[in-house]
Amino acid sequence: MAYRGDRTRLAVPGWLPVVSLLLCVVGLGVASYLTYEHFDTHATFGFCPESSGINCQKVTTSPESRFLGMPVAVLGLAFFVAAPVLLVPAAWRSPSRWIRGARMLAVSGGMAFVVWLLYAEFFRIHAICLYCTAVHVLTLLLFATVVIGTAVTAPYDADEHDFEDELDEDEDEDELGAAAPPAGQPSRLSRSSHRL
Amino acid sequence: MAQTKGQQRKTEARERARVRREQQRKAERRRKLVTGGTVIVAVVALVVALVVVKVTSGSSSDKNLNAPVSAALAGAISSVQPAAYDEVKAGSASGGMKAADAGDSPLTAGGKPEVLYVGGEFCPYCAAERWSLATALARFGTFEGLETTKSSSKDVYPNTATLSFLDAKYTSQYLTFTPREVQDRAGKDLQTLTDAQSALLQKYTQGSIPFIDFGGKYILGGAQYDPNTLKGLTADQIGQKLGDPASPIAQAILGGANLTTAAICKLTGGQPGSVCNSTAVTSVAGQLTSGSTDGSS
Repeated sequence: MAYRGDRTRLAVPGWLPVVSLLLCVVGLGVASYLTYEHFDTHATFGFCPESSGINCQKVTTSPESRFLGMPVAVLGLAFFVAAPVLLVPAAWRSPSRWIRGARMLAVSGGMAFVVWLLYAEFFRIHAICLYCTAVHVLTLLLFATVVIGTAVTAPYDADEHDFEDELDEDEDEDELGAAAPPAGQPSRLSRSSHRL
Repeated sequence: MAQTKGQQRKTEARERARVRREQQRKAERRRKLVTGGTVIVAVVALVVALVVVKVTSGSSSDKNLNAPVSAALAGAISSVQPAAYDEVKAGSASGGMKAADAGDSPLTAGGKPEVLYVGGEFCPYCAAERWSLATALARFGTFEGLETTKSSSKDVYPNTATLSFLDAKYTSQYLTFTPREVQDRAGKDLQTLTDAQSALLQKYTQGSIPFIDFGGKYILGGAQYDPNTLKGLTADQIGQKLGDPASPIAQAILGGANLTTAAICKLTGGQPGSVCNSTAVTSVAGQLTSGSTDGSS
């Protein structure tokens, strides 16, 4: 019941904008650091050990660290900068198909990119970057949050004529009285029985 | 009365319609939640599948290539002519040596200054740095058990030919050398670090290797030259190039060795004089105190 809204403003569970924005803020922080290290010629990647399997330097300087000429770190930063626009309470409350669609499209695109980057890390670069992994996890959580949020805030599309039909049926019943229903249709009694 | 009955029926109909709509609303939401949950589970399953495939296929990793150094290579490392060092000076080595924090306790072992090296056999930067370190240390003592190997085939600068300190024994009257190769060529754990060694590694390079602590006085984090310099060469070919000061190989390796030697000379009090007072060492010693040069890894 708490989710019910009207046709101009959807009711939104309180946790939804909070969680989604919090994920964005953390993601923004990590993506900012990755972008900084990307452009820092003396990148150190603190807390990212350098082993054969974990190597932030190797991942962030690999050919796969660029997508269409753009550093992936910058794309990640842009994602977490732009996403909050679609995740503020007002956007969540909006029944606009455009806003809801754009939000789903954004997180789906982000998630698809994460899957590609995981593939690249595992099978092309042969190393993972802990900071990148943090961004991947945050994107997955954001994706899950938006998918669930979109489901629970979905506007109910029942047409008004449903209600009118119901009234019309009852009025018809008044006029027909106890007349037998046409062949092949359930009787009022049987319909009532079904409801019970 | 009839009107009242009609109104009552309408009210009941409205109530039934409201209940039905509410049921439909709940069913619709449930359906969308199930769909959304299925999508999430599918995405997570895809990620898990990638991880599983990676983990299960990871067993076909690099083979151990360790082999004792040939007599020719051992000779090439230990008998580089002083004139060659003098000619190269810093060569193409970019340095990277910096002074340790003044508060650091001096590293000693066996009553002598200690040089701590932390690296990994997979690591291409370690592969490059070992050549300079081994040639520098060979000026102060002797090695036994040195091996040749190659860096990982899956890392940057793949298959860089190098030495391994894993089973090496070093003897010197001037210093103690403590090498730690933490992982093999395939990334499997080898030698462990003490808490104190781990603390130094974290403090100065946040865990990055290669890491060399010269007696608690100087720190080197990273390689002093580009591992690409060694590309395509075998260990024996690299050894042969050490005798040619004009070669890019000697410029890189001996240049790094001179800077390393200068740092070691600060620990040994300038002993032996034949090494520490050489043109090669005195000409690069100034780079240690400035701390102005940067590592390459």
